[in-house]
Amino acid sequence: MLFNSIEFALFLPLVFFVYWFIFNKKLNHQNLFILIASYAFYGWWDYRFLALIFLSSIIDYSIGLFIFKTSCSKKRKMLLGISLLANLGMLGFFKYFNFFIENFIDAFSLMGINLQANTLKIILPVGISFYTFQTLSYTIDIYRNRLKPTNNIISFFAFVSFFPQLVAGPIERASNLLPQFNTARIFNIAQAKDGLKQISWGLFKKIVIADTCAHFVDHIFQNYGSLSSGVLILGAVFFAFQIYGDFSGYSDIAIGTAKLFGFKLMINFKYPYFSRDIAEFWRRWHISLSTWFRDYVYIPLGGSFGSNLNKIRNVLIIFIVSGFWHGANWTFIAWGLLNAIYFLPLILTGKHKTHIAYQNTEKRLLANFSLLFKILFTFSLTSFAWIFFRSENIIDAFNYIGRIGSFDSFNIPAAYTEGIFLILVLLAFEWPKKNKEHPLQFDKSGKVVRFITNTFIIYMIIAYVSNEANEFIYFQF
Amino acid sequence: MRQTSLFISNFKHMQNFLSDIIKYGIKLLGIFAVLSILIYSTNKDFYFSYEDDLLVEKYDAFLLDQKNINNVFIGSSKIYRQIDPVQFDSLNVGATHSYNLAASNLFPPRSYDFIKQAILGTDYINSVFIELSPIANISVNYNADPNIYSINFKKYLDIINFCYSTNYPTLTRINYFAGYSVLFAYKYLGFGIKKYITLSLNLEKTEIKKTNRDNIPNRGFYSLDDQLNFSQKKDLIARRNEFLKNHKKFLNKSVAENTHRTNFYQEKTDKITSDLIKLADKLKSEGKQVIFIIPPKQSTEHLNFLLYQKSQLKEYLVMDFSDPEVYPEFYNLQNSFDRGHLNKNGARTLTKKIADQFLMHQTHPHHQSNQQP
Repeated sequence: MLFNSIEFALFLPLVFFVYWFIFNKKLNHQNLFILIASYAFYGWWDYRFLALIFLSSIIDYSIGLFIFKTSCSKKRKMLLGISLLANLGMLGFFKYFNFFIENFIDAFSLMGINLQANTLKIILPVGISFYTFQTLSYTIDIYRNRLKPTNNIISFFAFVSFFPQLVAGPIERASNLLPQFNTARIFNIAQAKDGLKQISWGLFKKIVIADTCAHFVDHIFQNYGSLSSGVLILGAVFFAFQIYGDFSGYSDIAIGTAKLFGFKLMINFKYPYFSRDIAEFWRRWHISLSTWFRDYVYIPLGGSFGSNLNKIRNVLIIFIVSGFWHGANWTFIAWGLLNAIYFLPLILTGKHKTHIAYQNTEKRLLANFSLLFKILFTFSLTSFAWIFFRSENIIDAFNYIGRIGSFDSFNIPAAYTEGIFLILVLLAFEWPKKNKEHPLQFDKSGKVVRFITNTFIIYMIIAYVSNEANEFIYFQF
Repeated sequence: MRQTSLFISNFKHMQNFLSDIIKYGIKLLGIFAVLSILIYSTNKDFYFSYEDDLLVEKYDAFLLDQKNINNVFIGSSKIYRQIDPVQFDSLNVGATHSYNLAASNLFPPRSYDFIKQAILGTDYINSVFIELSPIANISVNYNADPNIYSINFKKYLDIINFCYSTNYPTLTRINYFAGYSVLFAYKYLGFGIKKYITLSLNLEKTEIKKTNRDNIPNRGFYSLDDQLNFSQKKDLIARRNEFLKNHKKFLNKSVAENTHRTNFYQEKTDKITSDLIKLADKLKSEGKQVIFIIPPKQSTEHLNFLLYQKSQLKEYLVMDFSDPEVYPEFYNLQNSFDRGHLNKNGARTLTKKIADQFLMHQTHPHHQSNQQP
């Protein structure tokens, strides 16, 4: 069930009413209802996927309890190993099996040995990378004695499958979300209204920005061989905003939906295109995944401590793994590697924590050219890396960049005006609100301004609704 | 105790929340309706930007050859898949040069718009074959571009009148009413209005043209068998297999449905039929011969309506191929592709029958075949 579909438009109010009006009396009933609704939401794609999420949940629920009960470090290690093997095994099989087989065969063919390709027709279960990481963090945190396991199986299953964030995050930590399942929820009007506004903002980013940019991006990336340098640069910029609108839009809808049910999910995007360097970009982009890799891969490897060689190794590992997490394609690995290359000078010179948050002095973009330059430079670097992410294969990516390098013409056809205009509208909304969770949060604005702004956003969503709901990009990851 | 007070508190907050949302929603609906009506009232002609891709491509191909064409067939898939213009012309010994301008799901009232756009006012068309067909059931296609463009206040009122006036079963009428009401609300609350705005501002996107359309070479005719053989589309294969598996049951049902012919006449004339008569009169006033076709394999409820329409079209030739007693050949396995359509062989047979009746009518125009055969 897609967030931007008619089915979800009917599903959400139905679940909302039943949740607050019928199952409001007992917490366990409420959690059980969330679990059923979440399984219905997920099974809407393919009921067979439910077996996987059930298996993943039951494994980590049991292993979590066993690890907690035993003090023998050998046993604890073995139990953690089983959880890792089971979760990463499923992820590896469904997501990476064909990739490895194909590359194995390619490697042999380079040596003159021809093997028969016999890859399986494996369907990638939607959101498997997200909930696998979520359940893994639970078991790892118990292993590290940072979390106590829950005895309540319904709460745990609801935590793993919570429908707002099930298929594309934010990847929640058990320490944040699980206790919320064990605490009575109070309906808070202000929180619910804020949730609706955040859902609107998410739909605006997905339907108006991302889907419009997607139309141009598809055309430009499919026909890059016959288009001018200017158009190809614009193609990369459009894709930067497509993927941002698509993914952060999904996160906003997820967080807003969770608010309607009395939950608080972690922030996943903090206006990443206003970042002043790459390190800041990675603190603002897909925060739940970046912090997951930081806590479970980067820091155990030594993080930014130790020799320069260690730092280089750690940065390369975390970015390449992050790229590979996105999909079984060399383009994602190249994208990760490129980001690592951008990041390395900052970490080696100790400047990776220069820009943490926007201060009052840095709010006026137009009065501060140095700030504008930093933002544009960082955006150019990320857009360049997105070319690899979007291209079908590495050769296409290099050809695309090669075509840009021909500098033949920088004329932009009028057909692209709509996309440029919409991006400017998005930025105009976001820049003044960059310290807020979403731009529809107001402090002092009058009622009229709020009403006009909200009406404008909702009318734009309605006006841009298309015949068919377009899938979110991150569902494939 | 705590749980009960929490429940009451939640309930009260929820009531306030819902009342705020409803009030806000009503305001929004009002604003959106006014905005959308204002935008659509600019009344610009973007017909072919909204129409179905297949129909637009067929029309483009037709225009390339328009000076040679003097006869067209218009209707839904029952015309598109079942009438071969090349065969039709060969049987008419060169008197006609025909084009099949029908497309799947092209039903009234949208099909009348197409006739007005493509045929009315042309000076090279001598004859027009129009399918008599039920109005489109848009309950699942309420958000399709062609339907959005087609609906307006007048048409919506016509549909309400149609639901009120005709003798369709109550459930069918409710279904029509609900479907068109959703479509009407969808359009005038502004859903998808961006397309109209971007077209008005001349900001059309760079469209990626579909290629390999294989319906153009046979002057718009493409039998279901040919498409199945060429494309191996899964849905077509499934339809065909389902029919082959249960063909006896389907054919018997179809015969029963088309034999039960209750030709109900009534005092009230519905607006959809009167619009059709007006359109036919206009075509006739331009010197065009208008012929109506009722293809085989109708459902009983639609057939009754078509027979009623036939009775209203006394001034025109109506070729009715629906009666299994008169045309048993359209209800056998050899001529059928699926439950509602003929195969290539059936299409040949139907085309020949139409050509024969057309020839007979040309030679004996006073042999009014509204009561044919």
